[in-house]
Amino acid sequence: MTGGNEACAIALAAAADCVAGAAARAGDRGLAVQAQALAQRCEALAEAAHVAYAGATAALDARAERHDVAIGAALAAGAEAAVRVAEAAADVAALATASGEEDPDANAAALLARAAARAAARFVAVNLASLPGDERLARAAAAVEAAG
Amino acid sequence: MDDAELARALRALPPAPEAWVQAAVELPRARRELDAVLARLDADAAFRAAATADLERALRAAGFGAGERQLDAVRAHLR
Amino acid sequence: MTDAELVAACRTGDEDAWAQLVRRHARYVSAILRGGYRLGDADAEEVFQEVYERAYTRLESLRDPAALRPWLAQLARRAAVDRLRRNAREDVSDEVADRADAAAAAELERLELALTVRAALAELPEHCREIVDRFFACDESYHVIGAALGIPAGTIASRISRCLAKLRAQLGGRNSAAAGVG
Repeated sequence: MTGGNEACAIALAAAADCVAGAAARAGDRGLAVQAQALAQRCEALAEAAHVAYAGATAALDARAERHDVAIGAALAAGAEAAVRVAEAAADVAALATASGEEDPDANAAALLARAAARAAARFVAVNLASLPGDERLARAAAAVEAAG
Repeated sequence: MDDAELARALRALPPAPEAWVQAAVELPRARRELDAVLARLDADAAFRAAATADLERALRAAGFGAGERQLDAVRAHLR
Repeated sequence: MTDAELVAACRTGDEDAWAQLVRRHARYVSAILRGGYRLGDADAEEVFQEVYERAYTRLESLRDPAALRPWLAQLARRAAVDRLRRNAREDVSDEVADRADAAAAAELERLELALTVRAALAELPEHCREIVDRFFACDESYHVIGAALGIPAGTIASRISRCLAKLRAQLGGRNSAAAGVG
């Protein structure tokens, strides 16, 4: 089953690939290479998010002795995966803007990235509900702001 | 090399975790310590007896800070 | 120091040389285990140590010290396969090992290209090496890079672009030099 954070990462990988195309058409290979790297990064993040989600689901279902510890670890892993997706989203949005949002592909990528940043930040908040001072909350908020 | 290939090549060699690297760097020192422990086990019957009874405590008491891999090597030597 | 010089120094018991040897090839060994053979973190950590232990104890047997890196690669491959065999059920361990080797082969080829690119990167100014390494190899975001280097996050992408142009020129120069040989 695909969790929401994984879905964000998958969408971001596609958005980054769009940006790579837009940057290449604009003749900016430097941006194109960075966008390709972000697409590859988001593919890896999607995998990590999948593992984190599966771990969280298993921990919540389990009736194991150290139930609370397992859930805590799973939520921390989920938060970590989500904040990294939020930060990647900010970078994809930045590159989409730099590539020129008049290109419809870059524009679509920017909109997707902004949405992904917000969605991922929400997952950070949900996973860290019991840790209001955790620095990842601030990182996620910064990523949403940077995404625009 | 196209853009995706260059990106992949640049991403392919992330840093190894520093803890791993540091442990590998300290191999010579760890080996010397292990050799000293093994030599003492062979030469000192009391130390050997203490190590057989409770290996980690005996090593700690003797001032040896053995990691898991060295402990396995010492256990193998004691068998 | 070249790899051959490092090996020679290690053979005299020079522990600084050993430290340099470890650090110089750590990314490569780690990439073989994690990227090539897809070992999980716990297995990769143990096998990483095994590889360097084998290298340390067998360094005298390395016939061509200049071939240190491919020798380390061979040690890493064997150690990874040994670990996979150990983890698999006995009746399928050979199959698991063969599949892993086949899957790793393509990745190992890509690592050779990665090493070429990294060698070209090493010729660039330090500020380029750092910013490119942070973004690509360390997967750091523009925000994190900006904060670490004390430069505005909004300028990172264009800085990286300029460094990539230098890198392509460096790689192009290497290709021309190689083409001119022989």
